[in-house]
Amino acid sequence: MAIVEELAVGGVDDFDHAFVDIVSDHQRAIYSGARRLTRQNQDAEDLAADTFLRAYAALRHYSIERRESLNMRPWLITILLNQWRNLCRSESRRPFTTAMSPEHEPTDVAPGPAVSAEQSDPNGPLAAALDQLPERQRIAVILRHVVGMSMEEVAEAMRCPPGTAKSHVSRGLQQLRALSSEVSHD
Amino acid sequence: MTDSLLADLAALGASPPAGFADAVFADYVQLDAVAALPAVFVAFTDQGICCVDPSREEGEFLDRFHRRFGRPLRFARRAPRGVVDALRSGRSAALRYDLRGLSEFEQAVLRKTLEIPRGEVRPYAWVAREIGNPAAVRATGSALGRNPIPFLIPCHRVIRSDGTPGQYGFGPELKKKLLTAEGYVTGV
Repeated sequence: MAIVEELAVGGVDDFDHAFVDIVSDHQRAIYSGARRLTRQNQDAEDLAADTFLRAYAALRHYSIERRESLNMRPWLITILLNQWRNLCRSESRRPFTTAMSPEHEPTDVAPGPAVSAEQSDPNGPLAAALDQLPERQRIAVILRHVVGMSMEEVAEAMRCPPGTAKSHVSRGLQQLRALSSEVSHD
Repeated sequence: MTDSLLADLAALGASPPAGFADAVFADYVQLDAVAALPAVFVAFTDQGICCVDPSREEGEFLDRFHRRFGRPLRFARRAPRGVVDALRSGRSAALRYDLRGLSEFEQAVLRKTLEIPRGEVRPYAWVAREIGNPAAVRATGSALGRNPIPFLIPCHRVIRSDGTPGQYGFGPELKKKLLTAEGYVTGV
């Protein structure tokens, strides 16, 4: 990647200069992911900024070879996911902690909870339905269809085989359709 | 149905608000020497001024900044409003400062130091007492020694109880020079 090459050959000024391009190129992806994970615009902005700062600190200490081998977007998304989990752990009083449990089972798809979530979410019924998904499915769907990553990138960011990522996305979409259908028939 | 769902999901993506990069980067300028003050680099974020550094070489400043703050820098065309006047006049209490990364104690020391007017000095023990930690005189000295915003946060106005200038990160001679320029007659 051109940006990574630029980072690799540059000095201090070039490093920061190249990082301007990295932020510019990836800020929409990182912010979109952060916004859907936190469900709060201000939290999303802080989380996205923190993600870039973590990335910057790491890149400064990476060897040239390591920088060159990076696939920037999934690498940044992995940092975002780690930062988000840290945030959830340190602020467990936040309402979104119900979706954090790593192995939590699919939630009840009965219309009641779905409708109440929908009413409390300012981003609309689809966003509310998305929030009802189990964490791995929710993350996979967000990365694939909200952020717009390829399935390979989703797998890389989630540190799982592509087949597993595909399965999470597929089951997530299936459940979203079921939730949407129940809401529309309610 | 499927296409509609995927399109609706894609529509949940959003660009960050304008100025988002300001939360990631710090900006910096280099200002010429003024009166007793050496030329300085001034770095600032969207939260306020975070660093004043009298390094002579830009590379030296960048290196020091990166090691301490871990934040990328952009070159700015001008300093935040009021900074140049504050450096000239020694009246800097009204400026906004970004003290993130410092401990609560360090922040309290620096905020209290900011209240010392030009032409006056206070002993380390006064700062410690004023922030409610009268026994923490040595720690107050350490916090002042780590002041990332010297000159604007006037750590040079904090001296020993016997009236002598005491230690200074940029050398005791500069401390004496600054105090003399501000009208304070230092002890020997």
